[in-house]
Amino acid sequence: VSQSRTAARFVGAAVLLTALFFGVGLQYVDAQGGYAGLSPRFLATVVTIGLTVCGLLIFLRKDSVFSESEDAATAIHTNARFKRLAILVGGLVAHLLAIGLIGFVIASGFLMAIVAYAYGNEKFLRNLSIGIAIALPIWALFTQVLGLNLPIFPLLNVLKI
Amino acid sequence: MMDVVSAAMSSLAGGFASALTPINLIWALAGCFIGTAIGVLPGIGPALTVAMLLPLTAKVEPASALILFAGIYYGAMFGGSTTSILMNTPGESATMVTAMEGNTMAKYGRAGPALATAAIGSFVAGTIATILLSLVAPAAAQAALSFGPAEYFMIMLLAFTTVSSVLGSSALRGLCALFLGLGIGLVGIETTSGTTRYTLGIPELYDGLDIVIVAVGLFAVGEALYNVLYLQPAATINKMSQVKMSASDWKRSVPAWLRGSFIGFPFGLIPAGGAEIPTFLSYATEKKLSKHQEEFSSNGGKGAIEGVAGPEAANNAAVTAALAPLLTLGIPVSSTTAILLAAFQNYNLQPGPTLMQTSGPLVWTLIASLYIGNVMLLVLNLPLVGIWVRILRIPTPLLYGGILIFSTLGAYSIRQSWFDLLTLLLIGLLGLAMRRFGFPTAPVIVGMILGPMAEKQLRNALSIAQGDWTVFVTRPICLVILVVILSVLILPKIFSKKPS
Repeated sequence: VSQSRTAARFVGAAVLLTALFFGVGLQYVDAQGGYAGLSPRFLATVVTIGLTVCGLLIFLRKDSVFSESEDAATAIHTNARFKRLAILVGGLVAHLLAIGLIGFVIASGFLMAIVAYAYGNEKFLRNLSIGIAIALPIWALFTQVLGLNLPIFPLLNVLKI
Repeated sequence: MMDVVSAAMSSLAGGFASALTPINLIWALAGCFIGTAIGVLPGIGPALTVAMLLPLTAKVEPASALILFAGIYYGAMFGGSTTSILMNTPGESATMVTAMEGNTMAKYGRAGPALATAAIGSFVAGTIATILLSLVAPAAAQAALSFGPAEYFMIMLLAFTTVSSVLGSSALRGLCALFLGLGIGLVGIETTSGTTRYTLGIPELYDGLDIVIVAVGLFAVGEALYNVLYLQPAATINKMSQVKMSASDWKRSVPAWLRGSFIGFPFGLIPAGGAEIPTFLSYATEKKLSKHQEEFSSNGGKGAIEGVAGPEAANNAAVTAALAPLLTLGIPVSSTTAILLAAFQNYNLQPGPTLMQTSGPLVWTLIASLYIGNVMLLVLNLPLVGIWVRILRIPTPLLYGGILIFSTLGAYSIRQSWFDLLTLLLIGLLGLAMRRFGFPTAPVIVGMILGPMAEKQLRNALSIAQGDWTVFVTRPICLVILVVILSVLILPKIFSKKPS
């Protein structure tokens, strides 16, 4: 129960912080009501009040209703799991930073290899090729058939300039 | 009445004669095929595809082009359910409920029945809705004209209440998720006043957060992040034991298809949020009526087939019905029907009450093509069920790699911006936290989509009533909806207090 209360406190505080964000932002929202007497600030105020009430109710909960999901409760919290999560998040960050330089196809190849690595499959080069093999037809479909702009290797254009 | 029906039947027969010509059949097949392929890809919806194919109107006959566009429109709805069920990546906001329940079924080895009930349900609902469209469209659309902003606002309030109190195991967490969704929906330029809200001075946020990014982030990226932390070595994912629907699956699906069809159709007729509200309402209805409560994913179960069958039927019925206000009133009720309106205008045709008189054969050809498209889509999709479920045999590391490639593609293809990928990641982390602490994600999406619309309708209603809030209880339809809202809130509490 005490672990559950700690979780409730943590989640309640997070919700209250979100409410604070919307509350502080209220001052930058136009308060002119118009014919309806309803300004753009109205819904923002409703959201702020709603989140504050929900956050307080969660924060102050004393029962054990606020337990984590079953998978989470039964899982063993080892450092290895969090290391895997960090690799996955790192892979996504690297992908968003690199896609503008190396293009969708190669970036997707690396994303596949890093995600698979995080999930325990360490055949990096094989997974890199699988990722490229998946991304290439998608790139062809989007650029050649649907006419969307997905540069294959934008760095080349940068270097030409 | 009989005269009206026989006139409609006669016109429909003429429509079939035109739609069944070989060239129009080829256009219909092409539309269904392209639509299914597009529905499978997250991030690129039917509206964008029809918009990209609009230049065809300069070269192709009006009937052929409109048949192609209608096929894309329908096919995208069929295709959207496939990836929702198999990969938890809804390509369309209306298939989010399918993702919730269908993906859980897939994880427990029942991807086949989930895909089959979605395909057959879409066919049943599409056919029922097309028949209703043929018979009652003009009258029904006229009736929808009596709805004002106050009624639309109350319908949206009903959707908020139902979604936050019925989905998920706790009303408090549901409400919290709803307010979060409403808050996310606030970001961007407010359309009525033109003022910006919560954009933090970042230009990319002026247009607001894209619904595809938020949906894919919460569902697909959130799940990939969650499973890397918590997936058990002997996890149930990738299990594939059943391909066909059992007798019990049929027994549970048929009533859900019919209920879903009749929930979806009226919502398609009115401009109150497209197919999202009826899919969520259908899910809530099925969850209330089901004798298998323990199977619903929101109750920690293995996925209930009626939770896929009903919403899929509601989705397709609403999508079909949405053509009624477009054809008879010239009012587009979704982004795709808005593009279809542009297609009509490219041919110097103005949808509205006079369209039936001036271009009756064209309208009836389009309606006949919907019947044909429905059959084509069922024939295309059912044999593919066995092939689609093999996707689940892919090893988990590669499956999640593929899911994240599709997810990032969905976000990046919108405007080729790294900012959208960053937003996707942040929303994914939010999804991880919400799953970790048992918050339902559907209310976030509903709040985000309907929040700005509800705000606009509330403002319009109060402007017309000169600031008088009693308008929401003095108008009869509003009052009825208010009673339904109060029932949704109060009745479950009364019943839950009764000793079992």
